[in-house]
Amino acid sequence: MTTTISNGSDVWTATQVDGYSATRTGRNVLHPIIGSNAFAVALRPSSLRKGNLKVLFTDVDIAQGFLDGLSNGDEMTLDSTDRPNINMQFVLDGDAELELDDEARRNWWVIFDWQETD
Amino acid sequence: MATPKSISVIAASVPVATPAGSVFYTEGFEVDTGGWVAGALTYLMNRPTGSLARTGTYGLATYRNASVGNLPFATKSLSGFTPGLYYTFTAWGRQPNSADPSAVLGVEGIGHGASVTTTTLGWTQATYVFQATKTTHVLELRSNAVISANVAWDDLAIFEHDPIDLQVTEASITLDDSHAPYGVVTLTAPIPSEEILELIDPRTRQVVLVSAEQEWIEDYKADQTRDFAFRIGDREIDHVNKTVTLTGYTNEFFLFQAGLASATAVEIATVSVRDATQQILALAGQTLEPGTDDHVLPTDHQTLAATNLVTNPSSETATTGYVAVGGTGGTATITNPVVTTPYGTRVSRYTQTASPTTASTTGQYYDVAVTAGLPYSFAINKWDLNFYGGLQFAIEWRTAAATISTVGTVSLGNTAGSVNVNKYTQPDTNSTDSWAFSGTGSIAATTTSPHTGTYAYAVTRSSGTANWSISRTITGLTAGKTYLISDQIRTISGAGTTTVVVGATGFGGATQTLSASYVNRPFSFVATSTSATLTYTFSNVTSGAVVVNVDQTVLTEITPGPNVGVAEIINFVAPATATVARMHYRVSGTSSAAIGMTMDMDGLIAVQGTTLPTYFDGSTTDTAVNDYAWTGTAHASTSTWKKNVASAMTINPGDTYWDFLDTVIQAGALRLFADEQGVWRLVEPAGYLVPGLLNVGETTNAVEGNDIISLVRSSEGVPQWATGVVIKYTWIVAGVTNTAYDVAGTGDVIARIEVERPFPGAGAAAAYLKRYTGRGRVQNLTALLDLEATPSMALSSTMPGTPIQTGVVSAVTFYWSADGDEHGLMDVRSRGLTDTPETAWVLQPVGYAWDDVPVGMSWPEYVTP
Repeated sequence: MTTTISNGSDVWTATQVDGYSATRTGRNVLHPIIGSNAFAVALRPSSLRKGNLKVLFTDVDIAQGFLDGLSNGDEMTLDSTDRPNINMQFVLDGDAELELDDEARRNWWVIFDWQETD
Repeated sequence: MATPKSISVIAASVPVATPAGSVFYTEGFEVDTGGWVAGALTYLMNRPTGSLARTGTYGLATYRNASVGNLPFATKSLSGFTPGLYYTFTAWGRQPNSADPSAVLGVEGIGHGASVTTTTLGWTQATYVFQATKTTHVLELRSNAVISANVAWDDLAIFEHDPIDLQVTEASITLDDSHAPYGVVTLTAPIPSEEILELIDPRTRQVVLVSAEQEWIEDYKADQTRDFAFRIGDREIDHVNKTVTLTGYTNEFFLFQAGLASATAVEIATVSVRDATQQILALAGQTLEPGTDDHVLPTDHQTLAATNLVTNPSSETATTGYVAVGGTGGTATITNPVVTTPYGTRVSRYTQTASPTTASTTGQYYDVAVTAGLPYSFAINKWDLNFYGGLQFAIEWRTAAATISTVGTVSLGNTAGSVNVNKYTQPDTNSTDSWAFSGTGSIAATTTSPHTGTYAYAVTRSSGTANWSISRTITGLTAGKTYLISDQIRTISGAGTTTVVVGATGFGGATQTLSASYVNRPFSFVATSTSATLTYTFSNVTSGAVVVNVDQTVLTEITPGPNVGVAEIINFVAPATATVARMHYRVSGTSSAAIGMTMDMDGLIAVQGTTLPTYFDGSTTDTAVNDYAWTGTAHASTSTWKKNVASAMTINPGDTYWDFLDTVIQAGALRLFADEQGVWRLVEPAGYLVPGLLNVGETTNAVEGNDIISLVRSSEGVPQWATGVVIKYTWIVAGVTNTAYDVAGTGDVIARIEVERPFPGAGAAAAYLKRYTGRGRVQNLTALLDLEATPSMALSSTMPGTPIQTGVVSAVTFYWSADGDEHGLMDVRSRGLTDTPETAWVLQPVGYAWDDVPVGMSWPEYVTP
């Protein structure tokens, strides 16, 4: 019942994963045909998943290390024994944010945008 | 209409020289020669067994029969290559001697691998890595063995190197018949590894292979694939977007880059545009597809290409200069009978009229005047021996009176290829085997002094002075076949001189004076039926008993080996004091010089130089490019080969090859281009059409379209359409500027073009005008991607409110993209459009015949079925 994120050399174990969302963008192209109300469709596979992830760490040093790991430009691997369908290879795609948990005041959230790579 | 749904896929890869990949071809010669054929001057090729096979039962052997400069070799045309890909060609070779043990693999038009030193009589593997430039290549197995012996080959293999894939995110390919280069590809991919980045460096002349697939869902149209090979001309890395963009071009790009690095101009000695194009492409390692479209520039001077020093090279009017050498004690004649060859209607024929009495060289020769210290090359272009033997072509350097040395001896293949079958062998038993005696005396088997074995025939004249003879009928012969009698004959006892005539009834005989030592008295004849009677007739004018031994009589049926081809001796320097090169065509040994033996030769050529041109004499038919003449009396003087030349066929220092070629090609109203498979074509544009018809129409596949008629000139002043063209040529000769104009059409809408090259003659203006005329009305269409669309293909377009237009596809651009909106589309540009009724012939179904139209129906009534 654990979720780990690794970059090949370091492994971070999240206390909790929250706020997972994923989208895939369609890439089919619709070409209007002259003199017709129909379209020609050029089929293309949709893009890989991308989304936002919110991961909780109880230790600020671990959270900070994970943030740094995300920021190194490495391809990461997410592995969840609890939710295997979210397993993926990904890269940071946007901002990565370190945030103190408002309620507990001792846990740390790392919130980041990701793009699946494989 | 059903919604067309398609999947458009583009893939790109870069060939790599290593490592070898999948097996492309193998051959072990276990079934047959695998389609390999003997190369020029390699007169025998077979499938040996035993030690001449490395694995299995058979190998492939080539038999040397060539002079220096010509290695024994075999070739095979093999198809299925992917232009641009690398291949490793390997084979095992076994050389017959230690003199020059080597094995060389090659590909015609591309090159050869390094010569691999082999262990004498051992197997060594040779390897050659090459990059395919066409789908079909001619493979070569070569050796430089210097003696006549079998060079064996076995276990051939070709491996195709797997290319490295690029991850393409954006691609477009343009093919344009009004543009050079004809094809341009633009590919965008994420920045690959450093290794691949090095591979795609344009300076390495790297090829990028592009493979496109178009799959249509629900059978809207048949699925399509198309492969392209381009040379990378530009590589641009975008470090912000982390992408690399490659621009590749069809092979005209070579000619845009390469040019003349020299301080002096080079003249291409021809007036033929096709010939000049071939020569220029060869400089860039390219070859022109065969074709007939050509243009001949006006000749303004000639250059001497070669002089044939043989004054009577084809014996057309006389045998002058040809000398028979009948051998010691032998006689022969030279005649010039009617035999049609590519070199005329007569040949020089040597005929043995009396055989030599001892083993000696026989044949004919021809003397050519030479100058000491200069290199010469020689050839007999047609030789023919009706017999067999150690046939040779050799050059003997001489002073006016004496020999100096003999060089370049070529062993011709007649001996090696002949098949000899014994039809009769004198038995080595105590029997006379049906031999009949005539005269006063007897024939008997004797153990006294046989030549070989235990018995010989003692043929005895018991008394008197009359001749005596023995004879025997041999059956099982074939009319028309050549037969050779050989034997060993000597006197045993008797006074005076005994002479024998060996022959066959009806064919005459060969005379020999006998002694107390055995001699071979050969005789040949051509059978006229299935039997012949062999005769030995003895004479001795001294009265009394004479005993003669006859032994080892053998009658052999001869099937001569291959006796066609060219015998060449190339690049030998005449030694000091040499004034004559004697061209010998000869056989050695008495058995090869039997009576009736004939040796023909024709098409002699001797030139001063290190290379040998194709045969010519003063009677060779002139062409637009070549001029042949006798320097004196026809067939009795040397001949010259001059090339007609035009000043426009000059490459100036710093010119690219395209600079040069473009001018002369335009003058001929021709078009040179390399297609997406690297095939070079020189064509007459109006006559060059690609099969097929591209339909672009509303409600079917047209996405966008415009129709343009414009008289507006570009910012450089170039009109889009013109009624007249003027080309101004300017060039400098000896500091003086020359000017010439080529004009076509009228001045209503004029186009002016300036060219800084010698005037190649009129023609280019008319060609430009034709092109301008075709651009009077142009449609630019965007349609669903169709991989068959190709420039020079017929085009039919149907746009709203416009009559059906038919013309020709001038350019097409295909688009692929991971994200972009143009994915799966193509742009099509037209030329030569005309309004076309629906019932026009070009729009009828394929295979619809004129006769299918009902009699009496007019075209306005006709409805397309």
